[in-house]
Amino acid sequence: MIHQTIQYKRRALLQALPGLLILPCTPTFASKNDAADAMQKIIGGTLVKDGGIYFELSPLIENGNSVPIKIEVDSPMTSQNHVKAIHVISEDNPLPNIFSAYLSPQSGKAKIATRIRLANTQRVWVLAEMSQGYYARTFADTNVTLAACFEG
Amino acid sequence: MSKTSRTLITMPKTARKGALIEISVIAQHDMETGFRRTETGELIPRDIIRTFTCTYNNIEVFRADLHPGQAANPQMTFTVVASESGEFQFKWVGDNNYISTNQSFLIVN
Repeated sequence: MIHQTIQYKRRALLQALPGLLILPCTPTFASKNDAADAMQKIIGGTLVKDGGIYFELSPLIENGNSVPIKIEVDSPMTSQNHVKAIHVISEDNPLPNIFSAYLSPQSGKAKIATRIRLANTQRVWVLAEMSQGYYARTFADTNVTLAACFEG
Repeated sequence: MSKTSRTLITMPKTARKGALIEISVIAQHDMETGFRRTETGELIPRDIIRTFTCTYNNIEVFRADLHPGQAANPQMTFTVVASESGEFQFKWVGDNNYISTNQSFLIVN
């Protein structure tokens, strides 16, 4: 009998668990429009070309508090043709801007790595500003099991 | 009174002229997002590192803007072409007068 009550309580807890995990994460997250606005702010009226960027982001992330990313942009990195900046934009974090890096021909290679926070399962965008006057763009989709929430 | 913290640079000490070297930097910092609350419901104010710059013989070779979406203890890896022997200066600047600096010397042969 005692065994049964424990079983039921455990089951109830397990059933409530997804709700408990999701609840604190719902309010005031950057919507897709915020991300589009943030990207528009960076791009302005410049031409955008999709592709030309290698963006490594794990498709399944166990802990959103520290997510390693690697970005490499196809560019010879000469003074005439180089990557000026790389921006990382999130669609579903409280703030769309995550990280911006500014490079120069001295970089030799447009290759960076860092660690970011992801608040939800979402799409992450990468924009690369090229010296020839256009932006290269790519994205990656990822599933986040433990969100970097308003909690630790 | 400015805050500071421990920083760590990983890069080679020597390189051939024209070689590509990889620099990895990390700074000890909580990167408080400004979205978390205390148990009593008060918002914890934002406290992050906002910018990082790396200069090579006083010429800027890498700069980054960090936002609350950056993970705690921000770590970055980037590359630089070794053109001449000289000093790398690294500087982190953040909220609440946070400043950290570090330097490293590269011998090019």
